[in-house]
Amino acid sequence: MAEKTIRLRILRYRPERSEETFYQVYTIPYRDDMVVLDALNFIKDHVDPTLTFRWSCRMGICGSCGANIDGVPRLTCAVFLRSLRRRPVTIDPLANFPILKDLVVDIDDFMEKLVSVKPYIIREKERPLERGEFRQTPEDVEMFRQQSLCINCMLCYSACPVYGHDDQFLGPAASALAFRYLKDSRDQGADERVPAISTKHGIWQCTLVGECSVVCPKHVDPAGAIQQLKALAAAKTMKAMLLPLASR
Amino acid sequence: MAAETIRRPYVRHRSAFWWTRNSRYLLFQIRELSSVFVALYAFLFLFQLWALRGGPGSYAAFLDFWYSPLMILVSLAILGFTVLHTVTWFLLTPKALAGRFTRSAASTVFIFVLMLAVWIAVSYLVVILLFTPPAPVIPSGGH
Repeated sequence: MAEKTIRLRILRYRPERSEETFYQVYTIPYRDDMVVLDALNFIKDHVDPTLTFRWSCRMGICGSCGANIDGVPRLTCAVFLRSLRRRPVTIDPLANFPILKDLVVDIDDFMEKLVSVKPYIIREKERPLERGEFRQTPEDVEMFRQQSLCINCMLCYSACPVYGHDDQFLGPAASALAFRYLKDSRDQGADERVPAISTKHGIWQCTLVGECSVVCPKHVDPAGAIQQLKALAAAKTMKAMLLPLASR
Repeated sequence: MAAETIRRPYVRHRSAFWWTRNSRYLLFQIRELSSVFVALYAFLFLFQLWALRGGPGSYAAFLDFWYSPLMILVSLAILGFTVLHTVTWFLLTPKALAGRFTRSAASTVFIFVLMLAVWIAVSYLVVILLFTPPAPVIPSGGH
């Protein structure tokens, strides 16, 4: 019996050879239990060692292996080839990011955005270690647990047309991260964090397309987090206007 | 000796037709477009008030324009887009509500149905108010 094969059409960019991108089609042996990342690794090991892509854990935790598969941002380790209907399967680097090489994109902008929301617990005044840990109930944790599951895979940025239009937009994952810390009962950084995100290019640039929440592999729901942040920021502003003394 | 790194990021340009890539992007664009029709209705309403202020002749001319076949088509388009605008925003409202209550699918549906019910009830009341003929004036006994 002839061996089953599958065709993959992959966007290549080799800055050392050319200034332009091009598609290259690879035909490789196919098994039903192969995910897209298995196919990429087969090509790298047996067909074309120059093909470049990021990956690490193979189990949907590290967030390194995102790519646009048939136009949809997904983790290549989490998509079985048998679930894809089109042939050849088309693989592009994550949309909305500059390409460094083949499927590897430049993540510097994303890293800066993560830092800009101050993703750490802020205390008005540090308290001495002898006083022990900050205790939280399961209900306290539940307030931010969903947003804490983000693996920084950037699929949401690839799906976001607002970020695609204007890369100054803070974007889904960084906003969800801000939400995660604002909802943490140990955090007292709202006065620093809310002004940093409640700006023209912050949460208010979101037009609630909602695709970020659709593609999120961890069901973080960044779109929901951003809408709740808008409500929170608006309430904070109203409170400052109506009760100027109480909000100080 | 390590080779020199060549870092030349390649920036792709987004197609003007990005919104045709999936049905959710398309629905988003239609939802945004529906705002234009909502604004158009507000403009026509102001125009109606302006015609009313001009006296009976001016209002009769407005009604001729209002009941022309073209304006009936425009009104149907406004109705369709306004319903779409309202329903899509009602569907998204649970996203902006804080708390664990809104996390389950059942509560999302509940909030949507509740808002829809209030909307229909208020619309019904407005229609009753506008279209119920005024009560006949009972002549007073006279002195």
